[in-house]
Amino acid sequence: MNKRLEILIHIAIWIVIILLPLMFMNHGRGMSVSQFMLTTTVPLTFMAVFYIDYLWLTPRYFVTGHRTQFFVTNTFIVILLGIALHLWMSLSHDMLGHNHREPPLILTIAFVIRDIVNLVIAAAIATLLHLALQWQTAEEARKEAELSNLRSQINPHFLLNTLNNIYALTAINTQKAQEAIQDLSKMLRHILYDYQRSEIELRDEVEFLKNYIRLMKLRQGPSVEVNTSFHITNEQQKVAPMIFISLVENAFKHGVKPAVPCTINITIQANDKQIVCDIVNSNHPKTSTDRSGHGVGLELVRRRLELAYKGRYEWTHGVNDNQKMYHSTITIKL
Amino acid sequence: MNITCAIIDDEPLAIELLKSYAEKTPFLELQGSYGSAIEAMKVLRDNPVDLLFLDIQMPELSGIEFARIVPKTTKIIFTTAFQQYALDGYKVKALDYLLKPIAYEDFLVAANKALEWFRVFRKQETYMRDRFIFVKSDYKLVRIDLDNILYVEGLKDYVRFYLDDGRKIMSLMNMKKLEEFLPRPEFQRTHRSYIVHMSKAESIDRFRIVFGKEFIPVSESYKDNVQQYLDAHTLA
Repeated sequence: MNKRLEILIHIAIWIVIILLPLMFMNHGRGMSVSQFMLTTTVPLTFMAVFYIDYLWLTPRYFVTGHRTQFFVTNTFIVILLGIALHLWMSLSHDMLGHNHREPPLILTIAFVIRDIVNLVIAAAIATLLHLALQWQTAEEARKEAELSNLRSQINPHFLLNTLNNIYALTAINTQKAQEAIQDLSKMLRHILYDYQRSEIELRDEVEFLKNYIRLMKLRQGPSVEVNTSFHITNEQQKVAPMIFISLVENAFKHGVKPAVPCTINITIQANDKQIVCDIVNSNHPKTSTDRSGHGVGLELVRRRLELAYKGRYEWTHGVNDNQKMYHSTITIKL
Repeated sequence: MNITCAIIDDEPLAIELLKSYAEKTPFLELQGSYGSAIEAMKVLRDNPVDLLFLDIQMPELSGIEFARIVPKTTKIIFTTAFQQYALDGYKVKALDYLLKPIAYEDFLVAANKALEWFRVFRKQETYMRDRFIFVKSDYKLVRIDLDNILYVEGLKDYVRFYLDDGRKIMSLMNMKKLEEFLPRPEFQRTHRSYIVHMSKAESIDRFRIVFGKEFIPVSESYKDNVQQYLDAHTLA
């Protein structure tokens, strides 16, 4: 949703909520500033709870799965505000010099509980609204990612170049040609069937990466050194597809320069707590003319991570201090 | 006749394949293969080759860019996986282009094109150096000094050489082929039926080239070439 429109809607709703009680209470008589202050206190506390939940507690704790912290903090804030509200009200009544008798204790408690229930409702609305909006953007992003998946899955250039290499291999080394065809058909099968799911087995994704790396290695000269290490403790570990492949693609794209020694190191380690994908490659930035589709791949990776692991992943990438190596590390907490 | 060649491609397997093709082509002499244009540049500057099999899409220096800086005597056959680059290839006067994956038959056709080009080119070089040719005439080979030719007239399947000593020599060959072999620009085609040795012309009279009593016409389609030659040799 448009950010400005969203803010306007919020302001409009709050104006109505704050002014509405005044229209009923103010029977044509004038109203003092202190009376106005008194009547607006209740909606203002609602507002406070709403925004604390909407902007801070829900995204920070609820969405990221820290439900206990979310409920404890919320309970604490609501009770605190409920009591504060009650104290403020009776204090204001005293200051306004109302003929004000202290109501029986049971009534006071009932009032406080009523206020707390109202505040809880405000908090609930805030959380639900946040989740609804998030769900909506996630749905949009999912559709977009699906589309971009379709575009990027079978990169026609990769396919064509690989076929050309296999053609050459059939004339030079039949054994290797057969292996390459196997790698390619496994890759295509993975893309066709496995990528339709939102989660796949990490083992399969790693197998896919291995196929891709072997095919890319065919195209490199002897000056390119490719090291891989994959270590997965849990065989059933699941992962969202298409996250690591873009990084591997980039490593070959930017880490290889003809006739210069180049290294590409690709590591994936997974245990029950996290998946870590670490890619280091020689840094050979492309010249400005050769920067076809620069940054598109990284943008896709970012979106996929946001979609599947919002708040539970870390991604660092950039050149090392000596400018010689580029590293990219994704850590996904499970 | 052999022609020397080199292969430039950033993918080792592409090189391997072309290498194997070059090796089984009898008239190709492979001088070397290079993984990048920059690597090739160093070697080819000192030891130029006749023919280059040049990949277009390479990092750093593309085949098209490299083609612009190779010596004019080196002919280029582009190899590319992508059709759109082939069009660029023709802009830099490539002899041919091969679309990957390259079959040996296609390779051979392109290589033969190069062979044919160099056959003509080398003969021309020889004529330029030795200044004479032999032509078949009446079952014998007759020597003709290039400097003695005034003009050549085309007659269906024959050509007739008009020499400055008054001799006329008939020979079985076609004008197009002869035009290719005669060194330019001193020999100019001026008409469908005439090739003129421009440096022997006596005068130009309203776009007719005069040799004694003979007036050789210049036709519309060859006018520009003749004009260019005249411009270059006219003191104004």
